[in-house]
Amino acid sequence: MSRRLRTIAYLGIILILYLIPEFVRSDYIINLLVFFLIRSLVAISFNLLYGYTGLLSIAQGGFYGIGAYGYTLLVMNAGWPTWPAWLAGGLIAAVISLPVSGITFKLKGHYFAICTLALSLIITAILTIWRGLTSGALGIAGVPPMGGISLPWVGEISFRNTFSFYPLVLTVFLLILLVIYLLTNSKVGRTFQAIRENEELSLSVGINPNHHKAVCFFISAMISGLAGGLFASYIGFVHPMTSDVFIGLFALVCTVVGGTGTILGPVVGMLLLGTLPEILRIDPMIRNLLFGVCLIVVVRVAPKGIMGILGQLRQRSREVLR
Amino acid sequence: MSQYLINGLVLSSIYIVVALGLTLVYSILDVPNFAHGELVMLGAYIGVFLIGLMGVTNYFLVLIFAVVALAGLSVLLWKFIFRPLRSAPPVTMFIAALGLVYILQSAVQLIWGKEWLSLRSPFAGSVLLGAATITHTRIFIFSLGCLLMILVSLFIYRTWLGKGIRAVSQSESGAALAGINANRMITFTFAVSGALAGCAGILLGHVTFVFPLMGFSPLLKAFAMIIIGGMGSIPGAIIGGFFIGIIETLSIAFFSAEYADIFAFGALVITLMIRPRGLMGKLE
Amino acid sequence: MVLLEADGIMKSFGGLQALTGVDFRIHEGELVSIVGPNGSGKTTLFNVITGFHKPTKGTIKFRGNGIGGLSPYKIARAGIGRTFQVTALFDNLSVLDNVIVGLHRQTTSRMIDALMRDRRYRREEKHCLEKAKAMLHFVDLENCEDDLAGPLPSFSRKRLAIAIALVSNPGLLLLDEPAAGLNVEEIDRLAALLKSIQASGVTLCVIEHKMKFVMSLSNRVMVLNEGSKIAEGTPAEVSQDSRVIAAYLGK
Repeated sequence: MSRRLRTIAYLGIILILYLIPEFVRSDYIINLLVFFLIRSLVAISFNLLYGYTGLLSIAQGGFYGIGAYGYTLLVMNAGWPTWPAWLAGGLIAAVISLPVSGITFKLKGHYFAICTLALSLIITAILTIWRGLTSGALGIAGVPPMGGISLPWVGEISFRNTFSFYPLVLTVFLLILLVIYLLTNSKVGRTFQAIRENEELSLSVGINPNHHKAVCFFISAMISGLAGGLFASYIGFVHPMTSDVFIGLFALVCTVVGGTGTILGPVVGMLLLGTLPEILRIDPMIRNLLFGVCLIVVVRVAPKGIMGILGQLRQRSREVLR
Repeated sequence: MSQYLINGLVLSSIYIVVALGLTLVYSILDVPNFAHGELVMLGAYIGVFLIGLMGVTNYFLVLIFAVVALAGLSVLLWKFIFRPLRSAPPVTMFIAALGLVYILQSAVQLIWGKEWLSLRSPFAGSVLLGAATITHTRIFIFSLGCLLMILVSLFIYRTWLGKGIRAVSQSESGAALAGINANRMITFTFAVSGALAGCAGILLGHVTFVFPLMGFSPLLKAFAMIIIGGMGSIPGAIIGGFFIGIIETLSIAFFSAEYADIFAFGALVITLMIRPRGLMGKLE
Repeated sequence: MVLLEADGIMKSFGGLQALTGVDFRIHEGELVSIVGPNGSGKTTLFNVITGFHKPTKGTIKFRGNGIGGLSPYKIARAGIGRTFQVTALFDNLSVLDNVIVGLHRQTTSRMIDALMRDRRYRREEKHCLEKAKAMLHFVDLENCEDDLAGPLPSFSRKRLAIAIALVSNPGLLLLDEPAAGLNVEEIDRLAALLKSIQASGVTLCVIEHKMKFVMSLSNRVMVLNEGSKIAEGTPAEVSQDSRVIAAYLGK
């Protein structure tokens, strides 16, 4: 497919995505899409860490929660306007990732994973115990939605309900997807992958792995934090369990099954394992069972996940067509 | 205060049994079995099923059944899930173990539901020690725990099988040269690990509630223990175990139950920061 | 001109003394070989020079600047390239990408540039692509530039590893057993490659076991045994040295 045709196709898809609420007037489905987009952001942030740089981090839940609480506290307690508060929430999560980087980078593989898991749990515990700041396990209700924007001709756009929030989330999602695409298909992505493939060799060509890993972690934590802020402004309620370790694990499952190291892998995985079970009203327990089965099947049979299988099918069809 | 200490000591002894099973597998595979906590949970549920639902009255029969069943399950997991992944990067074993966690937790929930059950022990009555009341159950648990620690240490350091396991965990090629079949040793290790988990599960069921997610917290505490004590080391697991037990007990006594987790995980993180090798190294 | 000066290099691991005081020099433009029985400390010496191990004692100077104790990436940026005894590649990247990564120390564009795809970034990427392709041509791997590095046959892997280390124009290139596992024809091709590398102005230091290979290529040979230097000189001088013969026969 020629480049121009492909660009038009992408723009067309994006246009359709924006227009979905016009055709589908169901609050339920748009709500599902909003959650799908927010959670996909967490999966994408995990994919950046694991699929490209090889860091198996289970700390995404913690950063998500920090972003959510950051937004909430800055808006409600410090009186910040919503947009800067949202960005600041993501930045706070990213900054907190720096000491985490320092602590965890000398650890290999599973030690790293376990340490990030412990840190995620510690973040949840801190959010619960620091009642002065966070009202503890009661959570904070009445979190304001994102403030409105005034556009020249269109007038005031507010983001108070599902239908108006959807374009906001979609825009953030697409922007972050674009950023990830630009980064990973560039020298930055190549360097991340080199570090994942062979850290010693990377050192011998002048790459400082810790620097790049820290940058990767920073960006990943920022994305998770921004996703958390979006969540808080949409739901209107935050709670220590907003930083639950399961969020990080869920991101891991969706990314591994969808296909690590690809841009759309985590999104596909989230669609299949997150949204589809909800639409089909699959019992959460059966869904979790399927998670486990999918993980084991993928790891044994299809290490590149669904995107890998699709890639192989495309390869085969090309060979057949010759 | 002394009541806390006693209860904490008893709980620690159970966690140490869990940690021993975890560290054995780690020492021989170089990858920790993240699904170990679920094996413990299954042990507890077997106890509930046999004693509670089926009304089996012979307690030791139940213990033995749980031990054997979980040893068998553990070996099956090795054969069908972990072994085929040995040639892949170690991270894949971790992910597979995560998959097992999901499968086992949800399977149990589907069969037995989410309610918190209890596992009655056959020991009634208690003793007074100063200001503290110690139930006979707890005495039994602590004794059995210590007995298992001694048995496992003897097994690893004195028996032929134990020596074989240590050989393979040190160097698989070296062991092969000495005619030791690595596969068989790993299978035995998984069996012992599963047996320990099954036993720990029943003991744990006597002091806490039995519910599908009950394996998660002991697993993390066991990780903290063996990381502090040194992954792959038996005395390390025991020392690390009492260390974590004391930290937990003190934090509950001086702060509140919520803090117990923070201090235990905090200790884990600090250890990983300063001395990832822990206090002791691999199985020597 | 002396490119590398190493004085009194000692390295111990716990109780094990891997290097017990090695002095040597590498002069610009020459091809020096380091030989010695297994376990004599050759690779450890490379690791100390390139920063993968810190010397327990001793100083190392490259172009007059001290590099002892620096991190490997800093030493690489100073202009020392190396290959590894077990051929190290980025297995899941393409051959071309492998070499492009080798150019890292010469690139200056930052993440913002990559994000914005600005002129500096695009110019640098184009430049890297050209240099990488030229290097693949030089090591005769241009036909497989899109193949994954992992499944390549062993001689191709070795040439790729050399390409990665060489592409950023290091002043000194350290090769750890480049001829290991190669057949006679491949060894000849490798020798020709090393000669052209030397002719292009790169100073080479090679660890090798294969004596014929070493003798025909080297300007100088240094012999290590049990962590210390026991002989040094031209290939002819060293092969006659009784201590060297004893060391090899003894093992």
